[in-house]
Amino acid sequence: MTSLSDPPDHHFASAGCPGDAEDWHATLDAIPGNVALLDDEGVILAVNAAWRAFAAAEGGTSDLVGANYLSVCDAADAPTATAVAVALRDLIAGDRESFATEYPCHSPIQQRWYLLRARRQWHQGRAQLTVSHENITERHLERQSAQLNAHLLDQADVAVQTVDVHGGILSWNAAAERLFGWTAPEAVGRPVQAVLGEQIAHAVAAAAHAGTWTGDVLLHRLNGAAFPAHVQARLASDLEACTPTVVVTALDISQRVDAARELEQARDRLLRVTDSMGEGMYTLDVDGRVTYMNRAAQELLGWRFDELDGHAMHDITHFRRPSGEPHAAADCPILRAARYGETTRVEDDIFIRADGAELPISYTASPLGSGTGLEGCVVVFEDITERKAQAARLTRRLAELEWLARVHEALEGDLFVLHAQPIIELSSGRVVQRELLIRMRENDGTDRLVPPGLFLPVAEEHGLIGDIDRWVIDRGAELAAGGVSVELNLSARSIGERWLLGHVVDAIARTGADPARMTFEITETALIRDEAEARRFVEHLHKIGCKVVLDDFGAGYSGFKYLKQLPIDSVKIDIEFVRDLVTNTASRNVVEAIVGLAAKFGLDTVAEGVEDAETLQVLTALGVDYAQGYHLGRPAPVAVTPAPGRG
Amino acid sequence: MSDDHSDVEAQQALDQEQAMLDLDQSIAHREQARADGEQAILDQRQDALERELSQTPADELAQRAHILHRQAELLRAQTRRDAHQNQLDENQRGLGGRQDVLDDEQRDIDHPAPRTAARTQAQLLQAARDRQQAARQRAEAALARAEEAQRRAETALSRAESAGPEPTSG
Repeated sequence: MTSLSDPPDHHFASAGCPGDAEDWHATLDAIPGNVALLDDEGVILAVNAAWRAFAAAEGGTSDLVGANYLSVCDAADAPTATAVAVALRDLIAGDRESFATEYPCHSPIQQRWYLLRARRQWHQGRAQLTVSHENITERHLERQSAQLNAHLLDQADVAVQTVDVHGGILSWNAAAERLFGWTAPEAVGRPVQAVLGEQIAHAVAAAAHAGTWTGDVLLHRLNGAAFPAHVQARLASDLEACTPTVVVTALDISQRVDAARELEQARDRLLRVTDSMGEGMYTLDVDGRVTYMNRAAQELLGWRFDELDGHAMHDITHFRRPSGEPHAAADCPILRAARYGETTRVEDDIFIRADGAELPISYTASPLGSGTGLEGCVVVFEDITERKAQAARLTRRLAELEWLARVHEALEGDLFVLHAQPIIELSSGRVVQRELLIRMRENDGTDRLVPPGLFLPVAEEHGLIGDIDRWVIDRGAELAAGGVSVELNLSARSIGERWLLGHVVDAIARTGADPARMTFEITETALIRDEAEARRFVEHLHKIGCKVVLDDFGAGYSGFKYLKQLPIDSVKIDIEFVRDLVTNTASRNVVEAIVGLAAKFGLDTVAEGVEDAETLQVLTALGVDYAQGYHLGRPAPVAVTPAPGRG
Repeated sequence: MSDDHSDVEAQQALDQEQAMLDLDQSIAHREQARADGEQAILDQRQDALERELSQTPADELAQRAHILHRQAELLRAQTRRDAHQNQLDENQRGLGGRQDVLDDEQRDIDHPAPRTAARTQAQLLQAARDRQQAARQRAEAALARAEEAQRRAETALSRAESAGPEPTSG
């Protein structure tokens, strides 16, 4: 069976051909499509070169010249061929002037489409038909592709409009109807500016000039509602008319814009939340580099985020342990959280602030991750300075209470002992007095001695110092009664108490001690604490024959005025000036000035803390009267003879 | 006779005041000497730190941070030192004022008057020479202190001018 496109064997038949045969053939051959000329019965009178070439390429043996084209169509028994035969007979009958149809003409290796056009003309009073077959496969595929794209865009709610270069709307798809509210009949033919607005008109002009234009714009629907849209305008050619047009696609991006806005708002909210946190918070990437710091972290660490952004946090803020030892990055729990996803809670650590100060902190390091894996860690830390200070206060308080219990126990169990350190008269080298120093024996069977610095402050703070001072006065009086000249240290707190003087008088009376053998050390602190009571105490001591020595002389600037106001017998040079006397000229000048001052006031001078012969030599040369110290005699236990009535 | 007795008592009281002032002054000198020693150590540490900082690449933030930590610590120490020095200077001004008062009082006592004419011309001359000598010594000490204060101020200015930017605005 021969299809409509199958040309018959060709050879030129001059019968019925118009004009000069040679010219006519040349003209016919110049036509690119496959063309045949039929008479009013459908007989093929002539074909052109393209027809013949096609027939040869298809393997045909004849160009069908002389065959009846209508009979071939009838014999094809195909709906398209039948329709063509009917149309051609209508043309011959004069019922229509022309006819065109597209039809598939697939070969075993290629899909093809052809456009058949037929037109009637008159020759010598008889009808003739010109039938042409044009290969439109490429155009057909392009149109199919365009239709598919249009369908997909329509399905995706992408509005597609074509606009001519003068701005007139040529087409308007269903999505455009839904998006803009204009129907296709309403929109087509109107200026794009009137329907889509000024911005799209500019986009069309730009695309017509440059080929393409893309941007996000605010568009309006027919009802006036505005919405954000992503618009593309692209210059194209109309396949049928071959005239330039601009294809405009518009996609409603309200949801995208809303989503972006919501994301931005969520991010803002998160930043506000993290910035309002009292705890510091920062994030690190898997390499331990800073990616975020909240406000508290910046304030607590003293670094701004932009200063640390991208830098290794450990090397800057976490390189040292609370003990002062280096903190290697390999051992850092925070970096383990960032690199290996281990969550860590550390209760007591330090960060190093920008100013080098240590910030006591507790922290939690938690891994940060997403679907793609570990992205680093987030560290939330808290300044525990106050917590640590409270803990330290509590610990100190507990220790004080423990010492308090031991002082109670010592008072009740007679665990206090006195040691005596000799005081030497430098002019004669004789021991003229002994300073009494209190110690406390451990009640654990070891009889180890506890130095006074550990228990006296606690006893003073908790009101037990008065009991200790009474004990010291009693033992001092007993020693004095035995012929030992003693020097007693009393607490500043007791010196302000009225009972003290009475107790001294009672002790002297009870023991029969010579008051001149009892010297009381007064510190400047005691004088300042209650000046009136201290003055009364000192004056009364002097009145009953006891002596008073002003201790730690030279340590305070305001101590000297008491020399004029109080009946002081001697001053004890502050140990600070004695310690470096041999090597420090300034200290020697101070001691010299004290000696000069004492001479003007008629006072004796005592140097304490003498630990070597050179110091003793300088003191002697400077005219100091008395001295004490390890070089002259260490404190040693002193035996006290109990006074009558003491158990 | 009673006038002579009161003169002696006034001179004794003045001598006691002068002795107290001398002691105060000696203690102040000792404090200043110690403060100068501390300042010298601070200056050495500052110089060493600046050398180290100048040899550290600008992009080595961790290394620079460690140096800046020590710089901040040094700055705090210097601030404490400066505050202490202000106290010392203030105390020294007070001592100077007290000395002026004592000098005035001594002048009052030494002014020859009918009732004090008993003191010989030689005694008066010697007393005046002693006071002159003491005044000269005090003036020399004051000059030395002033020169030292100027040196400290110049060092502080130089330090402030060469100091880099603060590690943070805090």
